[in-house]
Amino acid sequence: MSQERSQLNRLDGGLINRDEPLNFSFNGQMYQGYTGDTLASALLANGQRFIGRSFKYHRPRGIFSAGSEEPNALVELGKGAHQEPNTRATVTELFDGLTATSQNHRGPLKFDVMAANDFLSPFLSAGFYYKTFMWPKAFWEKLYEPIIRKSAGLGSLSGQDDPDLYDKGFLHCDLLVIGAGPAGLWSALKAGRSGARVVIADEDFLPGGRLNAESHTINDTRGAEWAVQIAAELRSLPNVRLMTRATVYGAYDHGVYGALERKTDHLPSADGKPRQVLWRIYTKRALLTAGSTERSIAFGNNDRPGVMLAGAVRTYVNRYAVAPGKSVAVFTNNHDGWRTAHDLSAQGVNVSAVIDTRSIAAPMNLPGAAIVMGGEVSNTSGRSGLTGITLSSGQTIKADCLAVSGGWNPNVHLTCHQRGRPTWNNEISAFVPGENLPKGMSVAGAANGALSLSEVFASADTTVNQLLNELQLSADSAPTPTTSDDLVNIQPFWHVKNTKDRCWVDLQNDVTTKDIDQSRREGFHAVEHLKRYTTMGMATDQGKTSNVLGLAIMAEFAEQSIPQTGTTIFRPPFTPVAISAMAGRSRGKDFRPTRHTPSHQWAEEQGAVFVEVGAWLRAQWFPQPGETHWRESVDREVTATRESVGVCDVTTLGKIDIQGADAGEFLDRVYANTFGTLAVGKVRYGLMLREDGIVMDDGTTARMGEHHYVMTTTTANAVGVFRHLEFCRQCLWPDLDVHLISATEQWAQYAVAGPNSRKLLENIVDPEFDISNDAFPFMACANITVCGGIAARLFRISFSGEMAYEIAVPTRYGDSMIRALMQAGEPYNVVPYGTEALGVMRVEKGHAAGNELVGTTTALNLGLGRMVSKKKDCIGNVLSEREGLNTDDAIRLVGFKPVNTADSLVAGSHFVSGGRDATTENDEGWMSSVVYSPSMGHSIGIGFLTKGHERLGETLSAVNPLRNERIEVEVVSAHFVDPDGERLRG
Amino acid sequence: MGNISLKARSALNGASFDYEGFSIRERADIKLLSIAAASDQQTVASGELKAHCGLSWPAITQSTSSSDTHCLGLQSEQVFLLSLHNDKDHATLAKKLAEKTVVTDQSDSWVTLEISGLRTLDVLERICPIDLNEGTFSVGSVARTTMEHLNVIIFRQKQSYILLSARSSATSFLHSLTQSAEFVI
Repeated sequence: MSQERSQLNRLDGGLINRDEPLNFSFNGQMYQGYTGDTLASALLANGQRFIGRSFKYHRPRGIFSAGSEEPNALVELGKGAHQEPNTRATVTELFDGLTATSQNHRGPLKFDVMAANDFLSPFLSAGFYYKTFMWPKAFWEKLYEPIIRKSAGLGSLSGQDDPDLYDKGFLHCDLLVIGAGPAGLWSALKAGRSGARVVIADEDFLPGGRLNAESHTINDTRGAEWAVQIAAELRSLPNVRLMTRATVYGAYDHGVYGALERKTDHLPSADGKPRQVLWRIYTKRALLTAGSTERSIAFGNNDRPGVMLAGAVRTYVNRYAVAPGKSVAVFTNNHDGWRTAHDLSAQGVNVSAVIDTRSIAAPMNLPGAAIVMGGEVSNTSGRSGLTGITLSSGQTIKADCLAVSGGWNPNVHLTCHQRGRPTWNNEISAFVPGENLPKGMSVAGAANGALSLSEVFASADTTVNQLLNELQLSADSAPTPTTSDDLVNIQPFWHVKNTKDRCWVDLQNDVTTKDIDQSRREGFHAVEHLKRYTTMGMATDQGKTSNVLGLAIMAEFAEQSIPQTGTTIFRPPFTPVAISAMAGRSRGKDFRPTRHTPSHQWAEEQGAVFVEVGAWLRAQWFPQPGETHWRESVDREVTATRESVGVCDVTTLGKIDIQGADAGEFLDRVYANTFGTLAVGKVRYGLMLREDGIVMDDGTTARMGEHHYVMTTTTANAVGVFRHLEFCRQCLWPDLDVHLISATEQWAQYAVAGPNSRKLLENIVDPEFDISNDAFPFMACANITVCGGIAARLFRISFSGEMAYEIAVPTRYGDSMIRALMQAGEPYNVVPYGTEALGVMRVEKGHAAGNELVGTTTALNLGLGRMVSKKKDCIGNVLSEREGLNTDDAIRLVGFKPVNTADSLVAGSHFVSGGRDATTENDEGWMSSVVYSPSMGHSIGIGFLTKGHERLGETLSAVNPLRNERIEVEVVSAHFVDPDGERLRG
Repeated sequence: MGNISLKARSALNGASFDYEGFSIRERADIKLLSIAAASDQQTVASGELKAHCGLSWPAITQSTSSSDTHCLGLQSEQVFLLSLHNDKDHATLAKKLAEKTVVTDQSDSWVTLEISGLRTLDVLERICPIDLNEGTFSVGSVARTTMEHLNVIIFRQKQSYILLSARSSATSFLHSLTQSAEFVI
């Protein structure tokens, strides 16, 4: 890096701290600025006007504004993974070590090879890409699109994960004040003094808004100083939260606002804190005091570095003590330009000329300046920076900065976020908020069209008093501040006509007055079409300085009024919000919570491999030393369980306690089969239908007492079923005495399966409880105690097809229980088994699970049609009888085995018979679940086949079009293991 | 095998964290009962609560308290009873209340955290969407809400807040709090 440059353009005064110099770099060149500077002000102080290249024509561009409306001065900040493109230099707070580079050029900034586009501009006018790349057709994908993609876009991404931290938060207030300019500060103060809970947010790091940029006085105090005093009082009030560096970017339903607070962007190091926080602000009332944004005038080559908005020039002079040029000319259609000339002169900056489009008497004397009333600037000179201007009269004037004022547009954006439309105000030649404001929102100050400071305070005072009245609070009686005043006195003037040079309207998207005219001539009359056709108002600035100018010019070309032309709709966000900020901390493992089973730590100790099941982490299998493939582990777990005993954590299944005098009746209504008659101490498999007759979920429900049932659901549907039951209870049958509560988390539950499962449990269950086959047969349940008096629940149910139990203890004993079960099972070589072995055994047994309950299958399809009791009504009963669901050729759940047992079946394969082609017309069903069965010694599957139950023994093809495979399979019973159920009853 | 015993373990092994102005403590000593009134039996249920716990049935979002028990009004005709009872007294109380109300032991369903300190609200505003200002959520207030995608019951005491969230995701819930604390403090 080369040595620092001195701050040649620095003036006296300003709101910077000269005791705190800051070093920064731009394109590798070291510079110095001060605390209180923005990157833009510091660059201008160092004489750096040429900041970047334009989007389309790669024309040199400089700093145009002093705020978030900036269309030109976009830079890339940071290095490596921290690099962020499209950062506006005008709102980037300077800090020590800041690194910025210009963007949108190939090669050095001054010698951009893409600048050749500028010479091709006659061929690249609005909509050129809609017309140009039509032929030859084959060129599009291989030539045109790659080139366009490479050329398009602003800035570049690092391509790496964003390493910064982000967070979200929630705020609540009586009154949200959006903008801390004079109207916002005064309103917040009055509301704060009244006792209202106030949040006041401003995108700037310094409260005060335009007061910091102007030379106004308030109560005989300089405006900026007044802002400091008010901000200090606001900070002292416990009921007021003054947020700087916080942009309220969106107005949403029900008085909710989005705000982005930049927490550490202005610091050399974030020190482990979030860079930005995205706030959701809940409000009773909101007051928009977002001020206004100056607009330009379109004239020939009005885009050169050095052409700036007049108000921005004042900001740099008054707030940052920077002269944007050595010799400044002013081009205006209102009094505001004259204020710029006045403030420049007051700071000793040479004003070479004031060109006013109005044919009135000059509002002030400016010794040494050429005054041209009724004049127009028609052209400028200077390729990489302004050197002079040419008037329509042919007069040329030397200037290295041209301050342009075309009037001020109230910042109505947030008033339109819920489809509100602004209305045209002839007096200020600008749009002001319309009548359809977001509910609870009011507007005051310049945002409401009050463009003089006295009007601003009057507007704020009236509005906040009304709001406090609505909030039933007494407004503070402090008198409205007295101010020095300023008149706008605008005479609309949008663009200079009769010039051959390009007159730029949208600087960010390189849209000219000719583009607008072409759009109109080609039939794109509507302003929304104009935007899409020309790209005016798109990209990072969303046309803050160009929209009104553009549509006014459109209106002129179309010979219609501006209100007739209308505006495009404003949508959130007001200024760009990083996607990372919207994600907040929800990234990586923090994307969602993780649920751990009670045996998780123990399983980790065993080296289990885990699988995500919803939010749960479940042990998938437990590798043993020497096992090199998951199949080895799973086959071993299945075989050991079927031969002796295995244990699996099944806590994740939903458990719902259902109590009340009408619990049985309730279950009869939600289940297809009957539960009211189930004996106490018994369990029954239950099938639940949706209203449309399709199967919703299945599981077992145990009757633990006369009025107490415990329902189990599938893991995936635990929440959905509970929600469904609550809906039924509260909305469908509020007359029933039924109480529901989730007990999923309350009980740690383990399946103990295999021929030695009872022997194992006899070492756990307290001896007073007889769990012999006679006393505790298949489908029994009981409240028992284990391990010397610990309350437990025992169920004799089986998913594996083996003699099996599920035992539940309060979750605090869950970790201890898995260790106890393994200890008790040592004599029987007990194994833990994971979800893979669980799945293998259920397929071997022919049990339906999630792959079969896919939201399109009926009880009939699952072979459970007779479970839908016709002796009672239940949800889904009537619609399960629909003709289309009960055809003779309905699909049925059956088993499949490969004819060649060496073949591996593939889940998802579709069945076709008779060697027919694999087409939709020939499709006869699909394989829903496939496993390798260690019990059978080959691959097996279950699935749905047309008339499947009538086709046992038939051979057909299982087709996998993705791999172009056909495997011959035999249709068999879905019950591969123990089809008669002898084992589970043993 | 008669010597196999079970040892209770809390969701977070008694986790405890201290920051400048903010503390987190797991409260494994707190027992929970859900008590619901049978249909049209609200008066009976209120009487039972008064008789066995000395507490009035609280309105929804409010609570009633004694020295060792808090009753949280969570929804229509249902309350949560938080107590410092030992296992035996807890079981005895549950049995008594179950005679005329619908009782479910929820002690193992939730992880219970107590948070306190001057920076508590600063930490919570990053994860808790509800308004915890003293004027709207005074001492004794209770609410169901969400924090970082998790269901949470929040109960304001004089010097602290009690937070209940699902036990299986206790680690994630604790992480949401510690991360907030690290981001804010």
